Amino acid sequence: MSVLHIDDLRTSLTLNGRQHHAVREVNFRIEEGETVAVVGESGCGKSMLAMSIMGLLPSIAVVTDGHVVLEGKPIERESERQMEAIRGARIGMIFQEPMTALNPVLTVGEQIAEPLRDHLGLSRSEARRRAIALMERVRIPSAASRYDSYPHEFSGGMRQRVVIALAIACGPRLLIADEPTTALDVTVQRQILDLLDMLQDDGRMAMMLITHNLGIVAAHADRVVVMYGGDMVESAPVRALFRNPAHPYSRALLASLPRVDRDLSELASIPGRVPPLTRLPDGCRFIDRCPHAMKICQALPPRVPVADDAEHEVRCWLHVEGSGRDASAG
Amino acid sequence: MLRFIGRRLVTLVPTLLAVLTLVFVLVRVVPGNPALILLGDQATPEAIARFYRETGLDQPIWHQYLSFLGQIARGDLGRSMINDRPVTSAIAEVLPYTLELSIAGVVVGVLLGVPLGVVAARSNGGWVDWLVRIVTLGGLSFPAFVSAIMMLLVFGLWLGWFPIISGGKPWSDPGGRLMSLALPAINLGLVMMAYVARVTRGGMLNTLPSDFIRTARAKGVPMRRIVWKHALRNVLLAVVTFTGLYFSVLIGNSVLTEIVFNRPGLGKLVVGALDRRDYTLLQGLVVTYAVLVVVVNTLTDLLYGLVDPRVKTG
Amino acid sequence: MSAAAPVPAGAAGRTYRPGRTAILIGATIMAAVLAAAVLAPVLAPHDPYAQSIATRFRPPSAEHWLGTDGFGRDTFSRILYGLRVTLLTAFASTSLALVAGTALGIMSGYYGGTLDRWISAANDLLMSFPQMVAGIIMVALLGPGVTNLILAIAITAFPAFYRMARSAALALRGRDYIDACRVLGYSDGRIMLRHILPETMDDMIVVGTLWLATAVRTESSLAFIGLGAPPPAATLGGLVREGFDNLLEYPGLAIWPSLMILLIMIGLNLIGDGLRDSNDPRASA
Repeated sequence: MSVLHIDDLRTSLTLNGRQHHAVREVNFRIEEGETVAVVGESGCGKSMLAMSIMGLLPSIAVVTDGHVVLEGKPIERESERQMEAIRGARIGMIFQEPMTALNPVLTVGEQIAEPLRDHLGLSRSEARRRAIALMERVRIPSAASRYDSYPHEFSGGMRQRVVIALAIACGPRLLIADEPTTALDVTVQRQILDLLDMLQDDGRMAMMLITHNLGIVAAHADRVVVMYGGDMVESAPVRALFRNPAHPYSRALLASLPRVDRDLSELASIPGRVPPLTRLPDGCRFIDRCPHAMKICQALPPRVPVADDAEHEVRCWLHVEGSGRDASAG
Repeated sequence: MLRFIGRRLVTLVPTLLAVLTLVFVLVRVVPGNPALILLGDQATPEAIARFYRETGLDQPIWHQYLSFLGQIARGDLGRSMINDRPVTSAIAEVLPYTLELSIAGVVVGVLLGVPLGVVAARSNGGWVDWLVRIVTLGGLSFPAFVSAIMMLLVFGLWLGWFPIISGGKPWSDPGGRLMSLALPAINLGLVMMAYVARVTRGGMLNTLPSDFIRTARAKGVPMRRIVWKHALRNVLLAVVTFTGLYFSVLIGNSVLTEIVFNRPGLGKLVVGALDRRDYTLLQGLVVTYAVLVVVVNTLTDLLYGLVDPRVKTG
Repeated sequence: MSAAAPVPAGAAGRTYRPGRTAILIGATIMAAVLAAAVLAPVLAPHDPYAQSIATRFRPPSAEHWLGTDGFGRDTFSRILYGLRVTLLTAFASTSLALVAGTALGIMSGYYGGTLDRWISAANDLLMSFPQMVAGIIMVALLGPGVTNLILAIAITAFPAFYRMARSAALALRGRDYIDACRVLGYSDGRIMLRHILPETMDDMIVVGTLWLATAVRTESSLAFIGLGAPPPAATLGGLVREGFDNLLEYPGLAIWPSLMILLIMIGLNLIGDGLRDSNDPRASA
């Protein structure tokens, strides 16, 4: 049983009375101890996907189709109360901006201890002990004496460690890391990613790593989900994707990568940019930027397997037999 | 923390000095000769000379200034021009009434205003928000004496729930003292509530979209606690600052409230001093008010330092 | 990238503008109140000063719509005339504070240096007195009378305008086109009058509207304490004061002028609220 199964998920936003699909038929699984990277440019729907899983969508957004299956049970229609019991207990989440992710007027210890008391029903003193142990585990020096410190007394890297500590406090089965190192210095990035690897190995945690940095993907992920304009355009083991990218967008991503640590925001080889949500095409959303665009691309392409690996899938008409062009073109 | 308090207390001195200097100057630019005003047009030259000698007005101005400051430093505000009573004791006698009224007013205003602002922000644009908006608009529009008169009529006269004439009861009769405090305090509090509710609502709307609120939601904290603990703690900083700034309005409203409810206090003393042209008493009252405002502002800063962890080390 | 990045912040579903309605209602109220004040001589059924022992403390009737006071004067007529004094005082004092505050504020911000330090220090000092207390002292020192009342209220309102104009001038001073004016050899006076003043005017007028309500409150409060226009002139606060003396027997005498004050305050606050809303729909504090 997969820890997380995203099953043909659609999330829609209502803007000015019109519905727009911010996430469309996304489909992938994350197994125990596995790290799946979700990559794509800003606005590709990565964060909307994460918020759909957490049940923290803004009021104008709603999951319209498909399922978020956590350890065999769909949770996308759970009540707010049930989601409160899931968040922090079975799913932990860490965010991009450690400087603002912590409440400035509560001590860091209090913030780590809160989910322990909520979800595990620990007493105040037990929660304190466990929180200090967690702070030690995420390598915060002299943890016991810093329990009563406030966030402003911590550096960015240390704050991210605090956020990680409170996300893993209750031993979640799934950890969602939304660009966890983007806001940090390069040396600190490395430490945080290594820490995440270690924690994951300890707890056999499943991890969904949202990033736009392919270097991080190569070094830390097992499988990759490539997203574009709310669509999952390709899903593959890391090796297979880097060796044989099937979707034109994935190929462009990799081609734009002379240095492995280069950000996708500097994507130069694909002209144009992700269209805004209100102007996404109905069919393949890459159609306007795709060098191989065909007439049939105005319809939503199906998911098709790629021959090199059992887990390699692409959503592109180029790979559909008889759709007008040889699959290996380009 | 002690150093922070110490620093804040040191900055208090020049402010107080400036306020006292202004009072000194103002009282001396009163048009007309105080001796003639007080002793009457028919006063003999000897009487006028004695008056000048006794009040020190025959001394050079800088000498007057220094002895004025010296007296105040010793807690001496002079004697009433009307009944020769020490001003300090006249003020000390009624100060507790004004203080208890002001404190009770702040308590009522904050206890009502904060929850009102929170529910308004939660409803943002919904009917609860509109209702709070209308209620606070009323609160902003009532001059304190108008609301006081209405409350006196409705709750004192027509419904008879509260005594019409309040105050003057000693604390040995706590029930009576509290009953007489209730209406005036509610009056002060209702007007303040409107402002507090708006400050709270605005603060909440700014705080709820914060990253740290999202973090709290992601760890499964129930919405109720997110609003009333995580967000409100941050908003309270703004409420504390506001309360300090509002205090000088509250003092003005307490003057009006004391008059309407015929309650002893600084306000009634001011009106009495104005009616009888008791300039020394008036000067003492102005000094008292100014000191009160300065002290309250200092207390607010200290309180802010206690509530906001970022101040201590900063 | 935040979760709601593609979504406009806040509740995008609701796009109504509460500001418009509020301004409309407020403006209607104020237009009616102003008309009543201007047309008082035409509208008033009686001479507001005419005393008559025979008609003391009459209840409301067809002859005296809101009854009569202890001197037999018609309450409705007195309210109409009181309205004139109250509004005149509020407008005059706010305008005075606006002009003085803007002028000194711009000079303070534009020149900076010693001048700025001294005016700002004096301004801070003024602000350390409770507004009501400052008003009381001023009237007590200057003596009674409408002119002094206007002056006293203007002084209490001055800091708000001064601060606003000063910070605006301070911000504009560094702009390139002001530097260009200086290079062209324009006089300081011309720069302040022709280039800085127009830029600040919009904000000052919004602040002015908000302060009108405060001025009405200060005026009626001072009049209620007995520091308003001297009798027999009627101002709304003064009428409440007179009515208050007989509150238990004839509450109407205090209630009617109170309601008129309330109406003005609500009208002005609605306009102020609306203006604030159209500037920033989020913060209403």
